[in-house]
Amino acid sequence: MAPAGRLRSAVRRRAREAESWTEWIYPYRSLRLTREGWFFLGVTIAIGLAALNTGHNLFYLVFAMLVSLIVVSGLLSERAVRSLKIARRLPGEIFARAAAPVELRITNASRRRTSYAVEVHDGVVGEPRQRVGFLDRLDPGAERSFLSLSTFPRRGRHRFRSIHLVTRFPFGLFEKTRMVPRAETCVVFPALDSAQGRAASRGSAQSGFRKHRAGEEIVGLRRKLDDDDPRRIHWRSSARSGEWMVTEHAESLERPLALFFDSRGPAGDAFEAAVERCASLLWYVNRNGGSAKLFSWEACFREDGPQSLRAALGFLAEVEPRAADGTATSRALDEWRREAERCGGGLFITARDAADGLAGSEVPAAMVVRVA
Amino acid sequence: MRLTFEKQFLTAGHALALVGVGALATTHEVGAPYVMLAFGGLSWSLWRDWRRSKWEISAAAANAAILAALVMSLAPVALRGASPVRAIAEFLLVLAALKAVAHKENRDWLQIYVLSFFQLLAAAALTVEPVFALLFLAYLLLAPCVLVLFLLRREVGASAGARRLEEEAFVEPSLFRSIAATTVVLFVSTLVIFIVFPRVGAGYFAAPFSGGQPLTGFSEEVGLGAVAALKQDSAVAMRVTVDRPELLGVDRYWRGAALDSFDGRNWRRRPQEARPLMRPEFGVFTSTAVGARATTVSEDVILEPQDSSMLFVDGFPLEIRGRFSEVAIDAIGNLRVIRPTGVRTRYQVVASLAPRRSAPTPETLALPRIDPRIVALAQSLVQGVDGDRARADALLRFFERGFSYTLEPGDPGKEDPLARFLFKTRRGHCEYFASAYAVMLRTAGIPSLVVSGYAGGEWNPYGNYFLVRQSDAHSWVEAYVDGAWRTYDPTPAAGPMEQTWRRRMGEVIDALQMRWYRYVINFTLEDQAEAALSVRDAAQRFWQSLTRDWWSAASTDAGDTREAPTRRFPWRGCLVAVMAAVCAWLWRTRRGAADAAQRDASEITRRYLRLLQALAARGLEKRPAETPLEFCRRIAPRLDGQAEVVERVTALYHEARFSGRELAPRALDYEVDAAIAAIAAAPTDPPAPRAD
Repeated sequence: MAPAGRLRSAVRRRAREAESWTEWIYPYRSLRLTREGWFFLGVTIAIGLAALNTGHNLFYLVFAMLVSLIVVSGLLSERAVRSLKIARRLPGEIFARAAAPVELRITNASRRRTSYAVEVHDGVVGEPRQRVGFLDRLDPGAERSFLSLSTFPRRGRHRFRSIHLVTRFPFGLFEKTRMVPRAETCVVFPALDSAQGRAASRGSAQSGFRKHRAGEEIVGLRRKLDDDDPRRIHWRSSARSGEWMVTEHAESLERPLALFFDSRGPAGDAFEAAVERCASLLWYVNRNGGSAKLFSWEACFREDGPQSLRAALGFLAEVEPRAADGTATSRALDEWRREAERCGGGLFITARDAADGLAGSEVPAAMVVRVA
Repeated sequence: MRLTFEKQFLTAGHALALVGVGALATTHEVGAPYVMLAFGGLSWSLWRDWRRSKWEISAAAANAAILAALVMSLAPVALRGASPVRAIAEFLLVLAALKAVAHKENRDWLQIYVLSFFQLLAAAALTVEPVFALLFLAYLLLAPCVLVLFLLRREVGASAGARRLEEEAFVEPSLFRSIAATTVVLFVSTLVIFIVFPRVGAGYFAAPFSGGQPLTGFSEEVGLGAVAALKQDSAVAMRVTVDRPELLGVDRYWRGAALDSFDGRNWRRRPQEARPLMRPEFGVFTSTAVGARATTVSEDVILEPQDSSMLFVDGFPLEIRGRFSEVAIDAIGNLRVIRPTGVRTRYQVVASLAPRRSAPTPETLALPRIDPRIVALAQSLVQGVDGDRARADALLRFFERGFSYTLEPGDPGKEDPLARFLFKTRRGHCEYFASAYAVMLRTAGIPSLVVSGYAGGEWNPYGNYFLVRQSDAHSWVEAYVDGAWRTYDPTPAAGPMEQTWRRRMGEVIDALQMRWYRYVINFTLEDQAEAALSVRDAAQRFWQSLTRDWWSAASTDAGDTREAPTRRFPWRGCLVAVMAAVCAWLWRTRRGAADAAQRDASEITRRYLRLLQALAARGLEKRPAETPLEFCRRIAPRLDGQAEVVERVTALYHEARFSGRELAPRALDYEVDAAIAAIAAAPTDPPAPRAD
């Protein structure tokens, strides 16, 4: 993109995200008078006018003191927020319509200054910011974390807003906001439907148990690892122990599964439902110890492992409906069919009414899952 | 023992409230009962809050008391026309006391702070005394502290950490140090704004502000003993700054009123026409007389409030500047000024110390019926003496022997006071001496006036001005000799005053007061202009000295034989020191950033090496001559879903190693580690055939 075009898009993006015209002009700081600040300003102006009117120098002195307080207030409030560093940690997987824990870690990078009374606000583009935490006191070099739950209504790419550090320190006359541009993008996977996923995946699965990190029956508690699903957090034992604790589940072995997602068709609820069905199958089969692989007209995800699973879910997060052109390449289908034969099971998930337009290929009806 | 946060908050808040009450108390304009009530209420409140006692008056009782106090404060204003400012000040004191003893929430504390501020403001309206400066400084010191503590109490108290406020000293000493530093900045910025903010002059509601109780001043009729009454008062009458004090000499006479008519006991000024001085611009009055530069002085007078509108000048006024409506001068040199009395007044005079040459009026020779012995005495003293000057000197010498000074010459009763003084007691104060001398001069045919004003004054070396007290009130004589009016003082001089430490301390304090009146209370637009010009001149001089210093140093190094200037202020050294300090600060901040960048570089290098190891385990080895990006591009087709991760780690490594910038925190997040672990755990691929 040409520089002019990049500049235009940056300006438009800032205009969309800015909550006020001051933020649009200067997106790093904003200042707002509090109720006490308005009163203070009114008194200052009144005393200034009285000084001008009467020529009494002691009124000038008092007026000068009030103006100085305003100036110093701005300087000190800047010092309160300037030395704070913020990092946002997102969970490995974020699903639509499911609360995702977002961790904000704040560090006081100053060696001497303690920061007092700072609020932390965070949010996603398109949603209002929420207060996620309050720093009553953060000593030099100290660190504090806040956990907030963000729920994304839709799959796809979402951007976080800049993080706002808000303080009314030192005198409560002004509310200063430091906007920290942490506009991270996260990929929100399609929403999961646990019932649908379990029902679809349960077929001629053999039963057996193996202690693993996912499953249905809880067999114990252990310390949380980095890639554990945060929804497995056992809050009570975590609060008691002071560390994140997750439940450990038994697992039932499942047969591998090859999924084909048919992205043809119009956009709409049916398409989204199909995406979610596919994602649910992928997720639950893999998490229950099985192996589900995804194929589609655009991409194939043949590898096992969490990385491949994330990549497949990422694909589903951003897949858009494609025109049903009546002809579809059979190569993708052939690959899927081969995999399905190898695995002993496969599903063709589509939102269309009939799996037609597959010239030269056939999809057994038993393998087709139509999502209305 | 460190105080808990709550005790810090209570102490600071009460201290601020007490400063406000103290400011009003020092004005002496509010009744003592109100002050005592406010002090008592606040002190009791502090004791009660420290002990966490629950005793307090109910909100209903407090509101009723406030209403009653309001009515009691406003009633005198409505019924007797009392000062509304005083009524408001007294009401504020009552309000402060009631708020203190009532139950206090955050909102109530805020109201107490606002009350305290308005008390300070009321004090600023009611007084101009230097003690206000001390209380103002105390307020400046306490206000930031109180506001910070209040904010923390309100915001932290509302959060989950409220318990911490009760248990520990939540605020670190470093915060108080910051607040102290803030106070210094506040003080400096207050001064700067005070100096810079334009003084555009009085507006519609301008009112002169009194400086305290007016002193009894001189009047146009002086009875024998009137000036003596003033001499027992050591209150300051005026402070005079002179541009060339050496010209005034030891004998300084600040002329107030010249009196030409004597009735045997009283001197008065006979009504006569006064000629208004020219007014070329507002506040400037000039006479037509011209004075030689060698005998002209500029006098800047700050006159304490007096009940007369007289001005005091040493010499004959050529130009007067001040907030006066009109200035006129009569034939015997009396200034008639229309100005408000009872207020502190500042004016500047350009005066000529040369004798005045205006012609004498017939009244200056007029004599009442006096004791014939006085006439005979005067004639005997001037017999055989030629010339007015010689005769005046002869008469003056008469008082040098055999007479003594006293402020209590006794009541003359029906006796002629002057005859009693000359022939019986030979003791009296300056009015007797001046009156007797003036009468004897007139007897000898020399026109004379008795002048009342101030004589002498103390030189204050700490402020470089003359301090004139009421006790310096004096009477002397002006005689028309050799075509000019000359000053004669027949009163015996007092001995030199002893310099004690108390006296020196008094001079220091008075110098501070003088500066307060001069540079704060009487700070004007002209002073602002002068300050601006001074700053400009100082900046120019500094720049010139810098460049001159460099040039002289350079010329010395080049072997210039001209003598290098010595004892020069080390501007160059200062400049070098400042530049060195700035460079050190820049180096320190950049080093901090470099340390951070280096830390990031180490972290990402370790990760990159782990990535290379993981890839090598899969048969994907980086060739020595390959750059990281080239390696990444080469192996991308063989990585499938992991190509993106490898590319990202490589890009981060590149940036951290070679850009020198500190990376954003997310660059080192856990996902990178997880991705590298996934690559390491992936099945090993067979080694690819080498392309070369």
